[in-house]
Amino acid sequence: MEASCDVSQFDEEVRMDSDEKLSAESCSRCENTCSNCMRPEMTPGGLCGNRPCGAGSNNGPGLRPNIRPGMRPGGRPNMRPGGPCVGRPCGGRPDIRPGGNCGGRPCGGRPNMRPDGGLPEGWRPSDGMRSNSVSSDMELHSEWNCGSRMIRDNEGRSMKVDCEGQTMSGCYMNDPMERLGDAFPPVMAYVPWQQWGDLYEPECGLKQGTIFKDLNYVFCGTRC
Amino acid sequence: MYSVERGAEMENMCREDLMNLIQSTNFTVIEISMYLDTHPECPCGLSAYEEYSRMLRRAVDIYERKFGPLTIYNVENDGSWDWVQSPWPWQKGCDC
Repeated sequence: MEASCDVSQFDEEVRMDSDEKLSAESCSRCENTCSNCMRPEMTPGGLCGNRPCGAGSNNGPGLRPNIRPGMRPGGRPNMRPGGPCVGRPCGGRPDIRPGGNCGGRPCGGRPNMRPDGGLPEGWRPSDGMRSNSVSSDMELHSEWNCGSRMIRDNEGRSMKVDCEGQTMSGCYMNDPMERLGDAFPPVMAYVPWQQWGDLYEPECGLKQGTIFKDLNYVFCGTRC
Repeated sequence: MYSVERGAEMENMCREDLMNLIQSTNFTVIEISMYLDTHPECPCGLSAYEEYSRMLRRAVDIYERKFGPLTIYNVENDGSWDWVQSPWPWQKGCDC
């Protein structure tokens, strides 16, 4: 069932998030305004929020408010952990919202991820967008250049990998995942629903590790 | 798929071949069961489960009758503990 489209309610919530009255005026600094909500657009490198840049910002005069996790270039948060999602229909996407229901927002407003995992068009990396930590027991250390890089784990093992972090501005990140930074919400994975298909004979299936032909992929790192 | 012909073929299998058949069929049944966990109404999955589970039961019956118990739960005590008298299921010992 498609959720109701209540943009005004959403807008009201956003306003309630702020400790000051928000303005629907265009940002005097970035001069962008969202055509839907009449709020200033979040621009690459910073969120303009709902107020003129620097006006009451926690970052001080002249600075744009921080990009908050869950915010997209359109200026609206994609997810509201712990709270309900209000707004427009999700366009049929799965109803996955941590701690809350999906009242429905257009998913089309999310950053357009490029197939190669790079930043959306018009985005440039900045220090504020980089992740400062790697949440893994195996911390990777990298030595970076635009052609390739060497990575090594805590046990001293090293591996040379090709550079994947090139955009219009060239090499810019240490790790392909780090370049996503804090500008994107936590991952929402989608796994296609398995359909019944051809089966291997039991002997063959045991050797392949699955009886389902549709699931028999070659996994790099084990059989490549 | 299980068939009467396959059942007759099992009767003539050596221990190792029959064990291989049991292991692979058991794997197949587990795979289908996991599919059915998320597709409990799928007629194809239900049909395949029925076929292979029947085939597995048949193979286990034949194996235990010919070569001894596969698990300690099927040990028949005829005055001695047969479980340690014959090769364990995981031990090699093809008689073919």
